Amino acid sequence: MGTKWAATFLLLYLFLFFACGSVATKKAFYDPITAELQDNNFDAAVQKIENAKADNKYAKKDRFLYYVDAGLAYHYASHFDVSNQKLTQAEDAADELFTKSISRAAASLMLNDNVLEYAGEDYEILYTNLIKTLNYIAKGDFDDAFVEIRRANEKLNLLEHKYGEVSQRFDKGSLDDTVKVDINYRAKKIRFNNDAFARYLSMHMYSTEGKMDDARIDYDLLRSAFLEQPHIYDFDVPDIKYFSEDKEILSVVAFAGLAPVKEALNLRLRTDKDLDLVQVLYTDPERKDSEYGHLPISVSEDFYFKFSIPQIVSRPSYISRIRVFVDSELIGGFGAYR
Amino acid sequence: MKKAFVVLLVLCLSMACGSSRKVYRIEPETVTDLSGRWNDTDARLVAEEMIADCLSRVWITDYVAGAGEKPVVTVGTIRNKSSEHIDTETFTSDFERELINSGQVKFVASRIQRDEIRDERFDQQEWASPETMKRIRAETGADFILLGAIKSITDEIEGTKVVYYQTDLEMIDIESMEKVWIGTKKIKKEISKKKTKW
Repeated sequence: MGTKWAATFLLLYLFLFFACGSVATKKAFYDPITAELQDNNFDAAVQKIENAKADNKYAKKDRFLYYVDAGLAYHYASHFDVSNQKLTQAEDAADELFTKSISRAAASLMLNDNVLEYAGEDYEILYTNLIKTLNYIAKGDFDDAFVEIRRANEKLNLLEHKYGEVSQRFDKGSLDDTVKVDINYRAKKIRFNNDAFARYLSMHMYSTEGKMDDARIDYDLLRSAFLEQPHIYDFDVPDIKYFSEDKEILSVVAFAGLAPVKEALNLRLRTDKDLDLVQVLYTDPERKDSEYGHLPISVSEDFYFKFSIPQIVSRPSYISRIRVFVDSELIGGFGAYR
Repeated sequence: MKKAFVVLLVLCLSMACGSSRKVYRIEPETVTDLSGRWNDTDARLVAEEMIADCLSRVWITDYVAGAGEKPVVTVGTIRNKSSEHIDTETFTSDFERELINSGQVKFVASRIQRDEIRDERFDQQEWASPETMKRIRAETGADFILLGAIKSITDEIEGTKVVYYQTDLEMIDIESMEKVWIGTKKIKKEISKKKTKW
């Protein structure tokens, strides 16, 4: 009987494995793409992304990632129409993937989270609209650029609603907590609910449209993004203007450096019924068995299992210079940044 | 335990078996709402209401009574101030066609069309025979211009969205700047998304 069950389990596992496609994280194919982007070979990066897609490196469940990667690469390569098309597909995919599959969630319990379809993070979905805004501005389509800004603003409103309430609940819970829990669960620290760049673009769009009240609101919200999310914006609010009595304002936007990547943080959870303790420990070699946090709550059994949570890991960026050209003439630049 | 495995197996089978593509032809008037975004049905509803309203108002008869001829209209810019990419030509062309077919109004080409036609006419001055060459500076000047905008307001919480569209069209006397007709069509939609599926 035991052998029978083991065989059934193995069969089921294999079936799940093949039915769900890839369950392992494949990131190696990104290396040559990143190298091309770093060397400003944007057309080559586009080609490598398309080749990766043709070689099924992007699984169907990761279609959002493909559309975002391709949309961004086409943007850098100045193929604005294709970039808009890909980023619209990314936005549509995120919308479609809002509805979570229970069957995949069940499968992820047996395998791992790679079974789940990737629906994009809030900021990734928001940036589909922001990059499209830049594309439309580059094409001289002001109304279409404004459409994207309005869509971005709607997403920010939704985020504010989604995480504002959660943040308040968490903050209240933290203040009411008399047991002094050592795990910091303040939502404001972990969730992004406002985006300075979105506010910046929106501010200039409204200003160009002559809607100064709306521009001023975005200016205030831009400052709020800095003040309320110092863990994201760990530098001073830049000196920004959206209105001048006697001059035109030239706004220059440059993207440089490598974005952080999402990696798995492997942890171990153990419960101790004698100590009434739930303890979470690191598993990586550098911090092995050091404590991530603990909860002093009553437990009836001793458990021990491993689990993973996503974490955002910065990548080093070395930017020697940003130079601004107008009609092939150098008009300014910025010094070295790290 | 056995049942749980069977349930899981069925779930996985349902995941593995995708559906093939099917195509059906449907009547253009059929109401189809897939994503919840602005679509052909909205454009048609706007055109129908605006056309009926525009033709039933007194601005046409007032003009004919004063000038003794049909008003000449051109289509100006219909701005998209909504949060969706909307091709306003889908209803302005319906609008134009129905007004022309009503026999009460004459239309001249829009600004973009005029530029192209003028290029053609200038080309004729160089290359066409004198008998077939069309004259320059002989266009019919429009008496009225149609301007407008589509605006939208979105209210959304996770999973549910309400979008309110307002389309405003205005007929403006080009010489006097007088607004002789304003049409408004409002559409409100609620779009809900399931949080889970099998």
